[in-house]
Amino acid sequence: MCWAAVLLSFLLGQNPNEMDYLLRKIPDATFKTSDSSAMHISSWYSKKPVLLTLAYGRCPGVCNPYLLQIRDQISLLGSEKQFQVVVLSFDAEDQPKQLWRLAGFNENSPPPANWTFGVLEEDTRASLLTSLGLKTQMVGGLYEHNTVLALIGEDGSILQWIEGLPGTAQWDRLFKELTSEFVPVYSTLNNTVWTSCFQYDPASGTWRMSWGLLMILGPALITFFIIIILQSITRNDRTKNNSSILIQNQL
Amino acid sequence: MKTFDKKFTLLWLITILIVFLVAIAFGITMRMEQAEMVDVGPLNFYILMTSHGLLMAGVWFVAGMAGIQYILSRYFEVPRWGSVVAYACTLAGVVVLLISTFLTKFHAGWYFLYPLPFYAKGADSGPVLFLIAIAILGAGWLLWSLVLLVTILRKYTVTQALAWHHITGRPGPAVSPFILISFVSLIGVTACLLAAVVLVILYFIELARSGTMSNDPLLMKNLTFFFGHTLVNEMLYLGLAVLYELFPKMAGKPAYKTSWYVAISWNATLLIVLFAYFHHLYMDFAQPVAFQFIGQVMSWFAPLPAACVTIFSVLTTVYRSNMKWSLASLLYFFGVMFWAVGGVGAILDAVIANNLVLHNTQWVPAHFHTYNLLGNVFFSLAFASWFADEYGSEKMAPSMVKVIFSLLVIGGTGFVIAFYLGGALSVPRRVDMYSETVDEGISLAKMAVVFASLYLVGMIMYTVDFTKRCAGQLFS
Repeated sequence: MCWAAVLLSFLLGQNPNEMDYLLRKIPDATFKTSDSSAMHISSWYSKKPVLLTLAYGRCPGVCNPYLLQIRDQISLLGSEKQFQVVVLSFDAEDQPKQLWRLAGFNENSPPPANWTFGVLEEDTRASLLTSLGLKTQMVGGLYEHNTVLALIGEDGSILQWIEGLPGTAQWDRLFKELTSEFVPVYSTLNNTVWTSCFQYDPASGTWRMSWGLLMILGPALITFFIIIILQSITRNDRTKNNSSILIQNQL
Repeated sequence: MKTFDKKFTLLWLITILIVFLVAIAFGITMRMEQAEMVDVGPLNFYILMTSHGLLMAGVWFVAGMAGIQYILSRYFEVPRWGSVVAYACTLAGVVVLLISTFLTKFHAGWYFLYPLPFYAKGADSGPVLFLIAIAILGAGWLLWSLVLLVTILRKYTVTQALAWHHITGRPGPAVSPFILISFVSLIGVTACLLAAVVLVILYFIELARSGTMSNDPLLMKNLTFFFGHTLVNEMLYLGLAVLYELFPKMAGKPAYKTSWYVAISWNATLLIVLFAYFHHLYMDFAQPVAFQFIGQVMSWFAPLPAACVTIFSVLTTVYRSNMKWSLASLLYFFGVMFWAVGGVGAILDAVIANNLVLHNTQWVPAHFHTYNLLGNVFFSLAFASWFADEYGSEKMAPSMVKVIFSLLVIGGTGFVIAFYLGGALSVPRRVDMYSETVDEGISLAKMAVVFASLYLVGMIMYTVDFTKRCAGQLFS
């Protein structure tokens, strides 16, 4: 059902708009960890960047493959001490250890120290979900929901926001940001910039110049045409001038 | 030469001198704030910075245009309405600009870099009023520029006005350097004002769509600097065009003729100056890398043709001449030399490796104040002095020449040296107060206040003297 929701939103052309979330601060929500202690998200993001995502333990759909993919991708990175992965459940009935299984961990193979699992407390749950753009709807005792992966900076602001399964280019950008590598430019999937200088091809992750960049040439080209038009308008005046000069010379 | 042309040029010059004094006062107040001599606060600092920048750019642009209009009218019938409409638009634009800055507290800087106008706006009407001011000024100036282009094209074809026949050796009418440089500069002026038109339209569309549409910041920045950088370069060339006409006569030498190398250099300048603005976008990582290289190369080449030919011409004119040094000839000669100094400062900053260090330091105001305050302003003051000597009730007293010239040169030089030292010490520009790490900025600002005050005193004396000698002509 979750897959259906993601697919439906894609088919309806509801493109996620990263710009609505970037650089916005998330509320300092509290959650309960597996040892039953209450924690603030800020206790992690104030120390190092946090990769934050939300799921729920009884999810029959996307949560399990989604978290497995995050785990697989992070294991490729090999800089695990530089950031913290925080997986929070928005289902009050969950236990943190239920989330372990979704990410492929268990008692015999517990998550490493840079993974934190928790269940969101009631009072700050709604505000956190809103701030991250996570939409949930209860259908038949289960949640329909989208998936969001956010990179949270040390002041609690969203540095990167990805809805759905991240593509290769998105993972690449995310990891560069995590390891403080310079990211010069990337698509924010914002269709409202109609004078865009570049077009981004998400399939290949490549850029090509767009007509917005050509607009820079506009003033010079218009000037060129204006000069040509002015020359044509003033042709008669020049002929008159030249004739009078010719007559003066002959005299 | 019609009486109207003289009187209207006089009206332009008096207006320009008054606005210049106001704009200097704004600038000194900003430096006093940085020197911790007054406490106007950050908001008023940026309001003053916005007003100061746009007034200075505008006032010396119209000074150059007024000079071109006047010299052209000595040769051709120049339609008066272009200058009259431009004057009305300039007055209206300045009034709306000052309302937008001082009443609605718009403070985004004179180049209103996107998206700052949507944030540093004071009241919601601030950016609207500011953009209306830009639109009024741009419309009036664009019209004026087109009128002057038409005046030249009534006599010459485009290729003749660009002196191509002087390069190829084909027969054609003799084109003076004044016509060539004016034509080249007016084409550049038209292009950069059209960039401003596109820019203002894009801003208005975004304002009208109130948050449902945004512009591409990279495109907006390119257009902003195509407008701003090109305008300040072209207004300098307008002053040079008048210099080419007047300076040899001051030295008692024959008028300059357009040789093949003068024609080539100014044709090259026409193209190069349109691409040099890319050096303002070195820090914009999204700008295509090729543009950055073009920006660097064009910045190196931009001053070569115009500056080298002009400096060579001015030096050979002065060498073994019977020059009677008046304030006009002194200002022209030293204006060219300071232009060269400011140009070197600009090239140093336009080298990408240097720009990584100098970007947004006081090196930037250092170089542009050198070739504006001591270069372009000197060219226009020289024209005004020549005008007053020709048509005023009397010539300027020699003692007054010495005092005013000394005040302008000493005051101006000390003022820009404070900026250069600030740049060398990495003191940031565009800040109203300095932190402990760059507290040298405070003492340098104090130094700047002292020297700028000398310059202001010189300008007050110049304005009073000019008005005394010429105001009678206005009402005669």
